[in-house]
Amino acid sequence: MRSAHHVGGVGREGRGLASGGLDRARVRSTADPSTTTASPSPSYSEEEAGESGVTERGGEPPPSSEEVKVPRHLAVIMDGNYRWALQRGRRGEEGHAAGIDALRTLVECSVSYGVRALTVYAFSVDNWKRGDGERSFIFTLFERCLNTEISELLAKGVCIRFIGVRTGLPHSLRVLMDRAESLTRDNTSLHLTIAINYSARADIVAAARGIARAVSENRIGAEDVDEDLFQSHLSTSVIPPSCGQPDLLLRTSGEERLSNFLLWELAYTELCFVKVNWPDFNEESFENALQEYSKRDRRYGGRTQDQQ
Amino acid sequence: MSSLVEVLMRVVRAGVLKVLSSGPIPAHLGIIMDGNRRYATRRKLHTTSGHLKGFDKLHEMLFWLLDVGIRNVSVYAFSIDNFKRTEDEVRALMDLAHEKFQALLNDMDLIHRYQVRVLVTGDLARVPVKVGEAAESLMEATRKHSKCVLNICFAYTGCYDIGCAVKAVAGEVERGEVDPSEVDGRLVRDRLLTHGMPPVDLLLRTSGEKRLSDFLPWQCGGAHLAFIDTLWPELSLWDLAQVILEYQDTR
Repeated sequence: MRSAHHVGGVGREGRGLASGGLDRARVRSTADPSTTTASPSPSYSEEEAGESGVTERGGEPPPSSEEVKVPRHLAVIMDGNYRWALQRGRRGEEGHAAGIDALRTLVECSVSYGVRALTVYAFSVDNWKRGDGERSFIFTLFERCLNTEISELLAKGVCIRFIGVRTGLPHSLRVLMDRAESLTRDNTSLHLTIAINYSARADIVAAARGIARAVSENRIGAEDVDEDLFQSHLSTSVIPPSCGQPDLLLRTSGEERLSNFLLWELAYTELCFVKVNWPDFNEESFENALQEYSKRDRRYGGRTQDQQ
Repeated sequence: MSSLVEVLMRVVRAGVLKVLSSGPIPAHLGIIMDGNRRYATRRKLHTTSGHLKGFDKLHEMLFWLLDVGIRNVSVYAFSIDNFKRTEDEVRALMDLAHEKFQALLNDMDLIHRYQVRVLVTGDLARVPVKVGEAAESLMEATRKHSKCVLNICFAYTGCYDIGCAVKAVAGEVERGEVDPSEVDGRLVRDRLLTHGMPPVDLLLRTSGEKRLSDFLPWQCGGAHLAFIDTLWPELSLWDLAQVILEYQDTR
């Protein structure tokens, strides 16, 4: 499912916003979580191919063209902690600690703007290349974070899940991850998925292996294998289908690559690369990302209306 | 006077080539050739003219890229999603593809000289028979070329590509040819439509859109992504050179 969450006006190429400032109150009111249905999308119609798409939210007045679009599913590569620290003459570890604050801001903004799903890249399989000291600091930081933030996440109605390979992670961290998942299982305000020890290619291979096992055990036949079955074997299948695939990917630090994050899932995602380092990410950065997203025209291989 | 300009251009191009060759060259360049229709609309032409211009641009760029030293070039010529367009436009695109595949078959001089192996990868069962046959002929005629690869993704999506690889694995498991424990990255990668080609290290999309549109998702996992506003038919060698220079800066 690749549908966009259009809260604001129709995404027409070149529209932009009338003014540089953002009327937060107006955006908030249309993205108010209390008006959002938590169940699978009866109020959202899937964007038709070939049209720039207006998603009707049943019963609401049509939004004005100056309102900002909020992605239903936001993905973020939180890059630049180390660079941030280096630029300040501090140790890399301080960058990671500062990065946790930025993640807190991201979660708060996402809840407040009505984002349904937030998927973040916290630790890649490639990060194992970093020194033992930095790695073990990062894992300790995750553990501390899970301990201290859990009550806040519960209060905000955040449902937390982890994707990535758990073998290889410290046992103490895995215990906390399981606990966080089970405590927040019934929350629905925001589906927060944190990728730790994750690689998109490894995830695709694991899905293929899972299907291979099912075939060898005669649970399915090879002729039953299709793209939907494959997608259901990816680790991102834990995210409710009503959230769809990511509408927007944001990567900080200026690097312009996907670095093996959600490759299958990002097929039609709008990509946004910003030069700010992750610990400097704040509410203004979030609003800038929404403004950028609002300018995008999503065609899914078809045509925009002005090209019909 | 114009021949003086031509000479000057050749000298400048040679100079640019030299500068680029002194830095790391991408082993595999992917190009999403976007903007043909917008080009036509802006000039009040029929969209087919835009696609024709787009094909000519590819022809112009390809051999320059090979001169730069890029050994693998993949281009997104037609996505499975593009079948959603009007019947007329789809038919025009299929006719154009057939015409151009035939034209390449009839004039293989440069292809032989550069030893380009041409691949046409995608769900060719969906395209008109004559287009599929022309594509197969082109692939057969260049099968033994081994210096570089031009991979034309036609009726392609990453979803189809990865889906086919997984179905192939499932079939092999069912026939007892592969054990599930043997399913690893290399096995999956070797069943993708691009098997044998290195991963994409530089991806270029023209016309300002910033998304992959399901082009080589596995293959682009580590690629530097370059998005430029120029429409594909208006792309210049300077635009390309700049993209390659930026790629070299990131290395």
